[in-house]
Amino acid sequence: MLLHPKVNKRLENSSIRSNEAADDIDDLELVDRARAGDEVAFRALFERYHRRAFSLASGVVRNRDDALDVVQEAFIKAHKHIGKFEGTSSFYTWLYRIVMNLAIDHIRRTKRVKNVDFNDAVGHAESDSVGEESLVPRVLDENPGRSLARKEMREHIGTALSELSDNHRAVLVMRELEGLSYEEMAQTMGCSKGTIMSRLFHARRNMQKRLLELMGGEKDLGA
Amino acid sequence: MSAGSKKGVSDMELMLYADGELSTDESRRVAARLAEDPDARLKLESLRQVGEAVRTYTELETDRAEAELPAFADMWQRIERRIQANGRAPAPDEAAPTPMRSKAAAAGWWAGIRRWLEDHRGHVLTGAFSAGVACALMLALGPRVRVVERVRDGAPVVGTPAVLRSPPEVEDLEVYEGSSTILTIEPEGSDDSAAAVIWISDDREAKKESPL
Repeated sequence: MLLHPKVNKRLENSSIRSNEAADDIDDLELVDRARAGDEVAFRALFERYHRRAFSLASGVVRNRDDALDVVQEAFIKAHKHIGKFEGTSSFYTWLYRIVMNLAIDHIRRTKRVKNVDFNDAVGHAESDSVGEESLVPRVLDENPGRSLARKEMREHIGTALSELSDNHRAVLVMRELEGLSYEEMAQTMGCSKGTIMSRLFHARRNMQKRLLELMGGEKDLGA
Repeated sequence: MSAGSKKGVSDMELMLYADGELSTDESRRVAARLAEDPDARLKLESLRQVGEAVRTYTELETDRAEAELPAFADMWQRIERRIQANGRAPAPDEAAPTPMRSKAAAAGWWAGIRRWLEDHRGHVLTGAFSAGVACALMLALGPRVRVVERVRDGAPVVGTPAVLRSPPEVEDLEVYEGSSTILTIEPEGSDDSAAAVIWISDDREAKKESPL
């Protein structure tokens, strides 16, 4: 590990001893220590959440290198502003907002022209309207989660996700990975709750339709 | 909308139910309708499948990235370098962007300008100080600007603000239902105009406009 001499000094005196498992320390304590300059504590937070942050970022930006950049910037930003973290939410809630803001900034910047799809345009104008669209009463013939280990299945899902508009994908990933409420997503994305509902509805519907097309498996549960 | 199913559970209601966004009462009502509506149950199951697909896919992609990308394993080192560089004056070799830093990581053009300003704070401050000193010297040593404008009838003042060698002579006059002030500016040379007159107030107009 590359460490500045000052950090090495701190490591020697760190409050996290080698025999003290970082897993046993709660986030707020680690944040307090990181705020006091304990780099080891901040690294423990990184180790705890960087994978989750990467999953979120890669789900949104759909490019592994860009997702790594986003996560890296997010942790640097978190470190810089950790003094402002008040502890009213969990550390990860605070972190994912930073990750999402950077990821959304990224897709807005790099795909400004692309991906303004019809559904989203309708969603912005009539935020809680779903127009004439409806969910497809079909399920995939295989459990997509279990069969994802298969390469082609992964590719299908990756393709379907990539074909969603950026806003639809961002909302879908936030919801499915983080389980955020509509209100929380609206705050993160700076739009109304109705817009979130509309985006999520269309994202799921488009994802479902595309997956059925790609996988060709349809089965009526109730039939 | 055609989103509603036969038993009256709309697709939007179904989604809100699946996401736990309905109130307890609404949720119970939808659950009761679902029991009688196989079409709606199928849609609900399809929603759950989509969610599971997204979750499992992103998890597998993260596993792959961790296994395949050296940059993933090195992420902490890069973060640490940046943290350290932010915490002290950057050495010449650290001032260059790290390999991971790309346009994707920058937070827009404004963030870029801010980052540049932070990186070059010393130069910016030196430049600003030098510019200030230069302005002060020009004001102190440069040629005087003369006021030669005549202002009348409330016309807006235009032109360059003046710097005068001697203060203008000010004279207040009482006039019928009003007052005025005359500023007389001494000429600097034989060819210069002598004075500007500015009417400050007219009591009759002031009385009309003020409710007091």
